[in-house]
Amino acid sequence: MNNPLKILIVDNDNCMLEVFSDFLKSEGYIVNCAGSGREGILRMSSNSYDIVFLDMLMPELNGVQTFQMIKSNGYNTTVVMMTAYAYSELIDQAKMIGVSLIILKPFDFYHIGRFLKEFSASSGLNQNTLIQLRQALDYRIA
Amino acid sequence: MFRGSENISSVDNLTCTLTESLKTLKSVQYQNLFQNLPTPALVLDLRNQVVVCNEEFEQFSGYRFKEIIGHDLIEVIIPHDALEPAKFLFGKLLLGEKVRDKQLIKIKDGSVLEVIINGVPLLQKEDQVGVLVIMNRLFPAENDFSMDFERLKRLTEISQLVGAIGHELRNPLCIIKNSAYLVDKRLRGNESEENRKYLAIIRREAEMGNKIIANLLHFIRKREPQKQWIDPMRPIKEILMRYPLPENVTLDLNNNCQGIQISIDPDQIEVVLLNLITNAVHAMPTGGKLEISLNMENNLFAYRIADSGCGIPEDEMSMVFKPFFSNRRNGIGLGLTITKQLVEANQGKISIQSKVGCGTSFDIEFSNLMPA
Repeated sequence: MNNPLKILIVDNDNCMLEVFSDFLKSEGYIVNCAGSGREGILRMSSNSYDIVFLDMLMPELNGVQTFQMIKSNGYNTTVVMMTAYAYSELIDQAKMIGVSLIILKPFDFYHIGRFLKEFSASSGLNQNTLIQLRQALDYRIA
Repeated sequence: MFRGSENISSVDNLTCTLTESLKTLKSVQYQNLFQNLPTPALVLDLRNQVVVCNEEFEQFSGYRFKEIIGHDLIEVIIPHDALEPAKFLFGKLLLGEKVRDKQLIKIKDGSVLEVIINGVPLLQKEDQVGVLVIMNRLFPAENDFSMDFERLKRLTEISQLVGAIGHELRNPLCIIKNSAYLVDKRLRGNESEENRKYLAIIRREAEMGNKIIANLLHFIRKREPQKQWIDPMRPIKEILMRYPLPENVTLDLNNNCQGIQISIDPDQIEVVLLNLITNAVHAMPTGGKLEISLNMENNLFAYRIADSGCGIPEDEMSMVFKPFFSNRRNGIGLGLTITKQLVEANQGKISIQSKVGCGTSFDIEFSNLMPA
């Protein structure tokens, strides 16, 4: 894979981090993990990422607060929020502050694989790409 | 949700003035529970006039909500020769007493039936503002859905707990099913038959867990469909990819209507189809044939999910869509209730045919379609 995507996963569930990162590495991507929002921001200060998978419900900084800090620090990385709560108020907040994609757990790695292939093939997250990404992720988006 | 938009404000007014015991009536969960109660229920004001009733009351009595809103319940459903005990019973309710007593009522088609009336006064601080009436039909013992106020309250609390737990369980389910996917991917071509079988079981059961959670969450919090034009085969492909069928079940899949799209909420219809497919599989514990077909007739699109399993006895057919009805030992009886609600929310129709010993088939029809 030429210039594989650099991906950051931020989730307070260690098991999720391990399994998700194993999958992404097996697909040829470069992956870093962070166990909290704060650690995620720290990682972003020393690395550049093409995409961040960010869990919504975490202790201390939740996904929405982490996203706000990412933006206020000037990072324009594409952020995909992950949540098990299909009806949470946090989803409304995340949409209001401009999170591009919110995917619902339990999602399938198969869909994530398709999503990332589309993402790699596109040059940036414009409207057309976003439509394609949504299709690649099927309808498991909030 | 409460229906009858012209009456929403009166419902809101009443719900705003309810006692602590009914504070939760304002919550979506409580409204859903009220509507989903497997037994007829109404809220009356202090003149015994109907403020709201649930769907079960409509079906049971034959009266539509719009027909009885604002009418004195005693005048509507109490037969002339049972007026005295009814006035005594409802009088006690208006005096702030809880009641539970047998009562004769007359439904719209003229039949007179005996029910048990459970009534509780609705209080604000110390002032009574209304009455909650729950009717228990006198069924044979095995079909006893008796529901009183305490059970309703308990059900509300349980549903809130279940909602929270359900969401929490989605995290480990996500890990379990994707770990099985990774093992499957790594072993592809090298796995033994036995490993393949166990991996399929892990993925299938994780999907079952997700299905149960999805049903519970739909039950306690309904949402409006978010419709999209989609290839009707898409939800079927999705399910078959995620839910490997047991080896003793043969799939007969026929797509007889390629090149069309239907307007549905794909997430909701996937829940519907997964419910029907898993029910079909459970109806064939020793194996059999699962038929999934997509058909077109008279400008209607239809999914058919049919099994060659044990079938449903005739006397249970009218119960299958009722909440908490299940003939499976470990079933909670919400799958088909949710299925019917979701199909109808998507402007579809569901029908069932079954014969004991031959199998069961469900048809789901949609009329919103167009060429792809």
